[in-house]
Amino acid sequence: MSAQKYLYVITKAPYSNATGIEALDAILIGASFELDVSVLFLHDGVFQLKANQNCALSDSSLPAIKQFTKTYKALEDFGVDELYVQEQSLAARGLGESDLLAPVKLVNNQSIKALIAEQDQVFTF
Amino acid sequence: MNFNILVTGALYSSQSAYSALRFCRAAAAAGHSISQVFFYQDGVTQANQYSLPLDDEFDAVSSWVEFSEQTSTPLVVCVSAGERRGLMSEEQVLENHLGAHSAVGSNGSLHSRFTVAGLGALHQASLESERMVTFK
Amino acid sequence: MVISRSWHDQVALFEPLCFAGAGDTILLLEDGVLALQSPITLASFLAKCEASQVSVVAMLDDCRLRGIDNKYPQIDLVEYSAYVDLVVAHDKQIAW
Repeated sequence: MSAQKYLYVITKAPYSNATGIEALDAILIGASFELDVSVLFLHDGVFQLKANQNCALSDSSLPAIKQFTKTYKALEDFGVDELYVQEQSLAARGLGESDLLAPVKLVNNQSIKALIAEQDQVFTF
Repeated sequence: MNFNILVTGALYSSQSAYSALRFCRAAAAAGHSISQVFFYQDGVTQANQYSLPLDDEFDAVSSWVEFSEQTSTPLVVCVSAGERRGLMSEEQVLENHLGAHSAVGSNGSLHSRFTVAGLGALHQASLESERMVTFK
Repeated sequence: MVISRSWHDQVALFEPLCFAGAGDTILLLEDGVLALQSPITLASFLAKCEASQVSVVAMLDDCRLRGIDNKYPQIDLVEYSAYVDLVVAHDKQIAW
């Protein structure tokens, strides 16, 4: 039997909430299960992948906010197969592929529909 | 059929516990089994034994405990999501040397009917059960 | 005034429909049932659902709680027992 397909969908921007951190925890565990793991970024979720995030604060007496989004760059090494980004979410936010911190595959709604249909499990964050 | 339930909505602030419980009761009544109810993200707060809603309000924690006792369904809290939010068993409080200095006291805030496990337990159950149902 | 919410609205109702295919069911749960109070957009949503053979149901008790009447014959109001049956009938559930 081939590996089960698990898709993790992230729809929220980082830092104002713990969604990205806790999605990443789940993604890394999924990858450790030898599943066929991919991640889809929708809506404000595309901001998780924005390049040039800078956690250095103007007030250095406070501990910096953890820049957890660096982990997205390393997902490939953990066996995550693909990072998908919804084309229209990116365009609506004035972003392009070159504004992102990791290589991704741009997908339209038709491809997302096919992607979701072939999954065994879909986690939404 | 065998269901794995994932609950991620916060205690009291969201309708998540109510919807999930209604679903679980209906599933059990229809003869289905629930391999576990897994609490993740803000859902871990639904295991807080010190929750004290008003008398005429829905008591999510007690309702989960009652459902679990009646159906022998395991209630599982994600260990890291729980610790980040102060949801801990007495054992975890002691292990982390929080003790009397902790807001939760040395008793732990986790209701004893709930157990803690890693996200591996969520994935294992989703692989072994026929359906996963999420309540946000 | 302070704005700490995102500028970008999420298109909660239409997007799952873009990803749904023939035979899929969209269940309106909790605040999802508030869609029944959007006369302009709901008509086009239901037309698209019909065209792509996606059925739409809404949780009866969530409608009752919020004092919302269902004026749409295309939308069935369901109880939790029916939600359980829907989960059994479909190969996966996705919570948006």
